[in-house]
Amino acid sequence: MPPETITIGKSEARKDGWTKASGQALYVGDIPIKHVCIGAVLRSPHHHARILAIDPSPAQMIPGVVAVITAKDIPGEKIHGPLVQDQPVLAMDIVRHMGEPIALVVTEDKTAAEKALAAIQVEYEPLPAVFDAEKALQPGAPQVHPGGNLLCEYDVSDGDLQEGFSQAEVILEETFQVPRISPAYLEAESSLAYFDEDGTLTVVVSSQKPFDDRHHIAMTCGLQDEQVRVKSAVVGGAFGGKEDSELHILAGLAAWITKRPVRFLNNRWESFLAHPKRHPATLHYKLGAKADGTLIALEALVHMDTGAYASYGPAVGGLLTEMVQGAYHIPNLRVLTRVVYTNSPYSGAMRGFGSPQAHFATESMLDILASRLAMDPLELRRKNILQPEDHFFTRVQVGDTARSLPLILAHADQARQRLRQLPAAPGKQSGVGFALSLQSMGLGHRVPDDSTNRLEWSPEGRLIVYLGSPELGQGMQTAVEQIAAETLGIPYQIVDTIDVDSRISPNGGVTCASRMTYLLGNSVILAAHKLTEETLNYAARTLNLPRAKLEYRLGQVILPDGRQMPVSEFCGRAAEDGIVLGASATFSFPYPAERTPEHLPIGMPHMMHAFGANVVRVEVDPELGTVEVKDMVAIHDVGRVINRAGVEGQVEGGAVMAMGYALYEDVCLKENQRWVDSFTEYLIPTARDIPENIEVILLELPELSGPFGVKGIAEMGLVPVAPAIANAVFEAVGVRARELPITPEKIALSLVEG
Amino acid sequence: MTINAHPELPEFDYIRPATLEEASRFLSDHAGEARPLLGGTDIFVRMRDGFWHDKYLVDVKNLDGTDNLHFHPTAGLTIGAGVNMNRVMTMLEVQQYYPVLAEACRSVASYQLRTRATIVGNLCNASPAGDTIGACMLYDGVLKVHGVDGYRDEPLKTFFLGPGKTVLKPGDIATAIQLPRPPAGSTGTYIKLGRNTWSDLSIVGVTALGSREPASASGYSFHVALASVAPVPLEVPAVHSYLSENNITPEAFIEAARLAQQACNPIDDVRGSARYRKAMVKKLTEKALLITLDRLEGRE
Amino acid sequence: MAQHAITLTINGEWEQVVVPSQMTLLQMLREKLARTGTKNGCMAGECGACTVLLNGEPVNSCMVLAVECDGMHIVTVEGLMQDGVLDPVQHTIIEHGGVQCGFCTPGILISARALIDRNPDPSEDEIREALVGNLCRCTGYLRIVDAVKDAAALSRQAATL
Repeated sequence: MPPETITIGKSEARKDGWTKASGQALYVGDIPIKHVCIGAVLRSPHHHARILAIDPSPAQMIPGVVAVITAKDIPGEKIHGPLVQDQPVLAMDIVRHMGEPIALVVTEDKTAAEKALAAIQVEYEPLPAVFDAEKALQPGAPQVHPGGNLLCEYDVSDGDLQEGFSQAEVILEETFQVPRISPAYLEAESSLAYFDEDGTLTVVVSSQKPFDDRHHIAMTCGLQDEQVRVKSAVVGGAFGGKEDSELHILAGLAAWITKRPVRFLNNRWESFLAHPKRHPATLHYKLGAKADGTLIALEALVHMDTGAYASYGPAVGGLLTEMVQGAYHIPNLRVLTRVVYTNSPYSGAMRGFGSPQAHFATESMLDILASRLAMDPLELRRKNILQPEDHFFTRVQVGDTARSLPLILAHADQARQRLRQLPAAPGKQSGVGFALSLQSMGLGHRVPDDSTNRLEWSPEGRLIVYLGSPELGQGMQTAVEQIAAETLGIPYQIVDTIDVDSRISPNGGVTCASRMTYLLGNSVILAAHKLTEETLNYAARTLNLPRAKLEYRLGQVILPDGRQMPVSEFCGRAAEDGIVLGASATFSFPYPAERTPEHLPIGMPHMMHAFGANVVRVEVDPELGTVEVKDMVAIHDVGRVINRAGVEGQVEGGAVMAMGYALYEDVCLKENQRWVDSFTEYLIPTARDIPENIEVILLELPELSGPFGVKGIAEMGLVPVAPAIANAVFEAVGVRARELPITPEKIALSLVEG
Repeated sequence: MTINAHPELPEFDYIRPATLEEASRFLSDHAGEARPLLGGTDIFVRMRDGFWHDKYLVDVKNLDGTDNLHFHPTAGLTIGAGVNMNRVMTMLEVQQYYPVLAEACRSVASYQLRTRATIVGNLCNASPAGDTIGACMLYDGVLKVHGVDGYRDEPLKTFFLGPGKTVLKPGDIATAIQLPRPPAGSTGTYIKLGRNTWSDLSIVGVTALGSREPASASGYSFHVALASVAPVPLEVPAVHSYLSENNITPEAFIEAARLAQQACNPIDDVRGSARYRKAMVKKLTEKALLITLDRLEGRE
Repeated sequence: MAQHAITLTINGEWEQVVVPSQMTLLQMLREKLARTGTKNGCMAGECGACTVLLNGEPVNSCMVLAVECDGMHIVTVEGLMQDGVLDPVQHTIIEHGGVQCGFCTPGILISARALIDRNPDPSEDEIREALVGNLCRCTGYLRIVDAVKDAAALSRQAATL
């Protein structure tokens, strides 16, 4: 049993619940700004074309048009990109995907914006386009960028593959395909730029990384970072998709050029086509095992379609490569991953960051092997799970986190037995499947991976948290507030958080990578200790007592005679003295040398991991091919639960999002050469599609470096779900889905046609 | 090629005439640039997608009884053009005498969309995927149409000409759908196959309606209509004839389903391939007939 | 471009507005009347973020013209709170952790309130059916469904007092 706590582990109600439920929360589109202009983007109708001429003049004549902006108007850098500088802010000579920005219009009303977009004359010479990563690498394929279509490649090996396969008693080869999916947050991308009271260019963003956005905005406008102010609005969902700076750059640029306030609100269509997707991929696996199920060799060849621009493609490719191994010891392993440019909408960060793709293949492959060996899939896994003393094929030592695996398997086994007893509805066939998952936390070795946050006592003695990273809806702010409250021994209710504003907030880093509770929590604990020290120093000065005679406990300063004085008394006095009692602290993700050998086969391996599993029961209609997910049990080692409702909500939400990946979602080309671009065609799960119940089992095997033992959970809840569903469908009707989404059509036709 | 879809509705004039005469006259005078407006659930989507560019939308929702929903014990059901689907499906007489229509309404999109969506709008929109069209056809629906020359009747059996195309001419306003009272005890089902449990447009929709029919050799009358598998909503008369002439057995339903499959002519789209649709027409028709028989026999 | 003078109530208050023909109810609420609680998620009647009550029935306000609402009564999320007290649906959705990013929340609350008004004791299936037009990408819906169940019970209690 963990020790008694003040707030850790409790399902405290999130503080933004009231503003959100009362309709008062201000998202970018809601912020009132006088005389704000409409910003709109002219986007390419072509997948690939040369721009021969752009004539904005007809649009400039339209009443209400403030400006039409093209690439030649950009005062600073014309190219951007988070990892690779390959993406024009506005297209210059070539457009590489449908939806690519070509020009901006700034207008006084929406009607003028529509007319102006229609009036800009662009002359195109359409070029041949390529939409498939493997085809894009073939000789003669249309070239998306001058340097060729291969963006990057990872080739990581451990052991001796040839030797491994020679010892194998069974060898399987399979090819898996996963689709391009959209984060489909309810709030499409949005950005508001204006000049604040002292004339500073200010951009209010719906973003995971306001400080990085600021840098890109400044570069484009030809400014220093400090000349731009960014603020975080309430964010209506992000899931990785809002690690993209594009719209914020455009908004900042439009305001900077026109000197007018401008708001850009993407419509749903733009969100589908012109913002990052989860990478589609083809994964070819060759797996060798002993007849008793011992895994002995795996060779994986992966092609990822990164679309027209790199975005986070190189990093996603790296993590996908790492995740192919899953939760298993495979002594001889090689993964070759190619991240390839095509003329598709660009792929980037999305929840799981390569892990969902890898897990679909690995966890399906293991069930295929089990079926071939007539083994129980769970026993097969039990035989091969990683042990703490093992190392990943990246050479990083697995460590204590692997102690969760036997527990996870035991829970999964129980869940499986229970779900197997549930009867199918008449005419349906029931199947129970499961999958294990591995997910990393943090950005990876040698990548700057730190966070600075600040705590202050208000004059009334409330604790103010200056969070350096934006809350996206997932609830990290609540978790960090609970950690701060627990550390300082004060009630959660007196902790307030100030949203990111570059003028007053420290840089907390990008909200991503399942790392925030861990990273910000640690930073806040360090800051809390400094704040305690500062508070005691101040108390000592005001009371004329030696610092060493004072103690701090539960929001009270303890005097030498045992009397207690509430911190609030000192806060008030400090305010009168013109002193702010506050402290900042930076926490850097630890990459301990003892777990990281010097020679790493991959650039930035991840060091912190957690394991989980998902067990699902589906009912399949064998005639129609329809799949209903009826029950789900999610088992995850989270290190320590900070806010139970919050963690369970992350797991449930991730699981349901993954149901969409498994069953419905695909941003594919339609017969008329348009991409799927609306919720009419792109289905995400509704309240009718979800299981009757999702049981969430949280294991708490502490991460010693984590605040109160925390690991991470934001992505992991999603990772094992799609393969678990595929495995359940196989148990139900004997159809092996090698391709997502598993549509009724695919099942029905393979049942009919074998 | 333009892909800048309209996030907002393009400019048009909203016209609210005082009478149907006025409305028909306006629509006829502005042929090709005016369109009658009911719930707008299809019109607004098409205008935003840039497919329709009408200069005028003529609101005919509250004109001369278009808001009436009325059941008469002999004449049957009259659903005014402006009556929304939620109102139809919750009316007791609809649930009692036209259960298949209630079931079809319930399958449409979402509650809040059905607050606006109308059955007459669904019919006039003439989408092959229209969920309520099959039921209206099988209940022998007749549209009451007001044109420049006054009222006339348009039976649904001859109403649809192609995707989005009907016999309506400029100036015509469908004011109500009339469904005669079905034979006592008639019942059936609407089965909608979508990619998810509920809210998708249909990959295939099958409406079946059955009743006891002493005059037929089989003693039954069954009708089947199909959605999303032909350029128009499709009734399959061959199913009716076959099941009137042959004994009602599971095998007869399989044969009837095969006839339905023969009659359809689907296409490939994002929701499903023609091949899958064709296969599903057979399965779903058989299933719909079995459910209908069960309901007729009081087994459900 | 024809302009129309219309009169309607928003959350019980009479408003007179002049709107162009093509302005939707959603646009009027957000842009003309600064009622930004109602959200724009898709502009196609698919996501439900813009759901409001129109004469007591939920509609997608992106699919209704403002001019069609002349003389009608609109309730938005801002109108659910009475005298500074949260409606039971608001209270329970917070308590259950049914709010994450919050962008779908206003629409969900309106759908939930409408459901409880027409069916004071909805089953779990009925709740799910009533919410099918409200997409949520964060929560996975389960907590929202539980919240609506509880809100219905609270509303029934309040009605019997």
